Amino acid sequence: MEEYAHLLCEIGVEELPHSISFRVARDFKESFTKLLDENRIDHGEVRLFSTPRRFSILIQNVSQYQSDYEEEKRGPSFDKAYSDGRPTRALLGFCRANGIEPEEVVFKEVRGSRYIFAVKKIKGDKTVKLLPDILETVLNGMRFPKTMRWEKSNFSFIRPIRWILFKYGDEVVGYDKVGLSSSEYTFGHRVYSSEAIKVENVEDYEELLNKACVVADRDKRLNLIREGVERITKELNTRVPEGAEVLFEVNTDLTELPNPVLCSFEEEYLTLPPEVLISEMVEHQRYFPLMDSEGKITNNFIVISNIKDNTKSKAGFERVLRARLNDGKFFYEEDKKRNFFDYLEDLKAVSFHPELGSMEEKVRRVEKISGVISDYLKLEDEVKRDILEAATLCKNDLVTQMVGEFPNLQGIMGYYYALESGHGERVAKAIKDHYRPRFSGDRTPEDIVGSVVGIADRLDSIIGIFSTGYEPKGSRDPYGLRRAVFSIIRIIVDKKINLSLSNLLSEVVGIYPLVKDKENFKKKLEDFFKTRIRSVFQELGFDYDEIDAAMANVLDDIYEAYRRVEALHRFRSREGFKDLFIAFKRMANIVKEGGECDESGRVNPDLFVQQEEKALYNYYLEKKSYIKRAIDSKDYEEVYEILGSFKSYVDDFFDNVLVMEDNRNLRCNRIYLLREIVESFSGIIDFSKLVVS
Amino acid sequence: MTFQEIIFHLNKYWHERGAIIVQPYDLETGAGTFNPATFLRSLGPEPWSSAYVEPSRRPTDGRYGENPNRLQLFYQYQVLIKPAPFDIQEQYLNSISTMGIDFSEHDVRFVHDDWESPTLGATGLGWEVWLDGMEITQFTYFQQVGGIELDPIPVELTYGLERIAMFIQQKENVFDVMWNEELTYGDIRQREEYEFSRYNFEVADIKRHIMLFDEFEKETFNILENGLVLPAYDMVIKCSHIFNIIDARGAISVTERAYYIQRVRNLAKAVAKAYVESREKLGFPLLKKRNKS
Repeated sequence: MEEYAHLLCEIGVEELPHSISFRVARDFKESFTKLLDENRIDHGEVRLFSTPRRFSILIQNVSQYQSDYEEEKRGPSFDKAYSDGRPTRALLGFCRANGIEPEEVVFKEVRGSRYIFAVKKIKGDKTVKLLPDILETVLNGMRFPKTMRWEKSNFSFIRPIRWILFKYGDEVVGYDKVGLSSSEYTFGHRVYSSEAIKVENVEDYEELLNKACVVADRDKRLNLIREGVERITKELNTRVPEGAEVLFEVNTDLTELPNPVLCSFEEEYLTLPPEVLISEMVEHQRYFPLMDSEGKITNNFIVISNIKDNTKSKAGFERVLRARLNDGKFFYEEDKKRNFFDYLEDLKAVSFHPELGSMEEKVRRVEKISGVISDYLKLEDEVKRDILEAATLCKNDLVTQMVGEFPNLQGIMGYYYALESGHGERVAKAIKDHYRPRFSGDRTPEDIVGSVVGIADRLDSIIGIFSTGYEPKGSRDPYGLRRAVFSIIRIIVDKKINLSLSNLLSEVVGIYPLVKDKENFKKKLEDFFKTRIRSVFQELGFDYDEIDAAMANVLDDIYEAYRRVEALHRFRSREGFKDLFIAFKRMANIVKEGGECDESGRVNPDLFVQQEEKALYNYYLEKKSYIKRAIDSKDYEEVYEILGSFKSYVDDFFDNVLVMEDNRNLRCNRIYLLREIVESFSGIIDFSKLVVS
Repeated sequence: MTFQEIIFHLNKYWHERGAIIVQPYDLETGAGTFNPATFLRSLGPEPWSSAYVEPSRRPTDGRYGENPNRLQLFYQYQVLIKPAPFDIQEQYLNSISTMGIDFSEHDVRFVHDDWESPTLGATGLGWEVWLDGMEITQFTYFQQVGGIELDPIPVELTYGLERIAMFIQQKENVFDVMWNEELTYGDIRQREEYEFSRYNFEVADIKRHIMLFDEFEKETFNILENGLVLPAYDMVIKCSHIFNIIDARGAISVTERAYYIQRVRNLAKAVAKAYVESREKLGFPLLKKRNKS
């Protein structure tokens, strides 16, 4: 036999969930390869195949044997191994245990001392003997979001394993766990190849599957789909809308033999909002919608079929979509028969929460909160009118038939129905946008109208749910209150909204009937917000000590707190600022310790003795008004620039001046100096909270 | 193939593969899973194989007989086999192709869809089976039922009979499906859809149903305390259906809804536990039966 042979391992499964089938295949390849390496089995290139019904690896030139290796074992130290140049009992015992003669030991230095080592040459084992264990370890070690059992041994995996092709060179590698025995057979496409296929030569694997109508290479399938779709779109002068790009991969992982089929639906359905059409095709059916050159959805679409001849199936693909569009059209026409405003009445029958009343009551509170926010932001009357109008209408589409049937269209249908009933574009858009951001990478509402309603809606949920005595604990958060805070902050930051949450809460907690002790309730809410804002800031990438140092009075203005943290974060990584922050933290600590000085003591310039303290003081006096001006105008960039300019003065000061001087007058004068400087930045940064190293 | 011929076909097909052809249960169930032949028989070590039609009531899906695709009552064809056969996918596909559906002309696909019944404390992993893009079957390997981890694992096949009939007969409206050579599905059932939609959405007395729920819930425990399991399970089915009606009336909020579901689940769990214990006391008789043969 030759020294190297190719290895093929295919795991045949019942259809893997398409969303993770490729990841599963990659994990399999990685952990298999890693184990070969760990077992010192030399090998060449590894090819990966992945379809819904299999994942497999073909490894070139796998060595017949593990490489030999030397195992070293440390024994007693040199001093303990010999006495008067003769082996001690310790050494003899060590040699016996390792099956070597005392003459065979070697000496090595370990951390400055000499030790005895036994070196054993270990001969590599036959690869074929190790392979079953390797596969066993790989299969047992794979992790999935959800696993299942299906056979006697109760092995857990993502889906039932139905065959294992395991072949090394000409030999089948025996493996008979998970309710079956390995073999040299694979299976082709369900429809075109019913018999098991013998893989005589593992290198022919891909070709054999090709003949059996399976394109096992995932990239090739992906390309087939891309090319097929492109051919059609070019011909029709259309394109695939942005949101549907994901379908290329989805369909790759749903088929073994992808075939694009051009289908169409009746033009009458084009009167439906494009979101409805797209959502039906993309999310439900995984069909590619097609857009014309002007960005309008056309009545053509592409289905990726898993069979060759689609003359009959085409009608089926179309019928399924037609049934859904027909539903949609019926609901759309029905919904439009009523004035959109009138749906508010129906919200009275929908419960928001048993203790907080109906959705209509919620909407009334959202209106009120939206109004208060608008006043705080001093928005123009016209804008405020739009906000209130949008707040009133924002939940009406929940009781339309369309959203009842297709809940993911909430907001979107509101947009169309509001326009239909003569409301302005801005109001309609706010109805759609107030749900944004819906997930962590999502955009915030386009303009201030949707932003204010979005904040008010979430604030109402938070305050309302809190007033029932509920608080999110641990990972349990069924009402999504944490997400709600996250979204509020995203909007505030994106839209640069200066808003005192503290004042806002004082003004609105009164409208919640369950709230008895207003002050106490408000305090609990504020604590919740503060904790949440900290973790949202952390999610946004800031370090916890930066947040602590710069988020003072955050509830007076979340946006300014964000800007302060952001500025600190940015300057912290700048050249020279690390040392500067260390120095300022030292100043803050000295001030805190107090040095037995008067708390209201002031600097007396006559008491300065050293040049460096005078210089620092003079520089401070020179900059004092600039610092104040920068702080007042919230120009944090400028504040930190000024702070940076203190560097040489501060360094000189600490290099040459001893603050903790025995003479109380001199000492306290220095502390007063440091205090004035540190305090001049208060409200922007609390140096003592910084963690520096 | 008419609607009833499809049922004959499936009965014959699964009968030939050793299934007990049981009958629809005589209570209002929400799915074939509720039939004791599935819910209870999937528990414990005893082997089981059954097939049957189950009229399945989904009050919220009613559309007064006006929607071509939605019904408040439809027929599931339910197969439950424990332990799941090695070649169950082929057996299933064969049951479809022997109706005259050629998979080289019609695209059949297993699309990931894990199943969960919060009211029954049941979960499973599996697929929707798509035929030319239309879901015709739910294919599930049960993992847990009534909160109990299963061993051995059963497989459940739930065929949507109306959809399969629409597919075979190429109908766009369920009411146009031929039930036999003479009468349509609509002839037989359309009025029923209208009346039950009106009842479920408009007429059912909410207070009375809430009271009924409470009463049947109490009765479940009364029965269990008296050492009986099967009548107790009937009460679980009743509670589940009554909850569905309360839900269809839109009488409960999201949180109350969750609470009702939890109450039904607790009943289902208590019954499941009692059932396994009672079978154990009997010495798991079906286990011996199989060993003999």
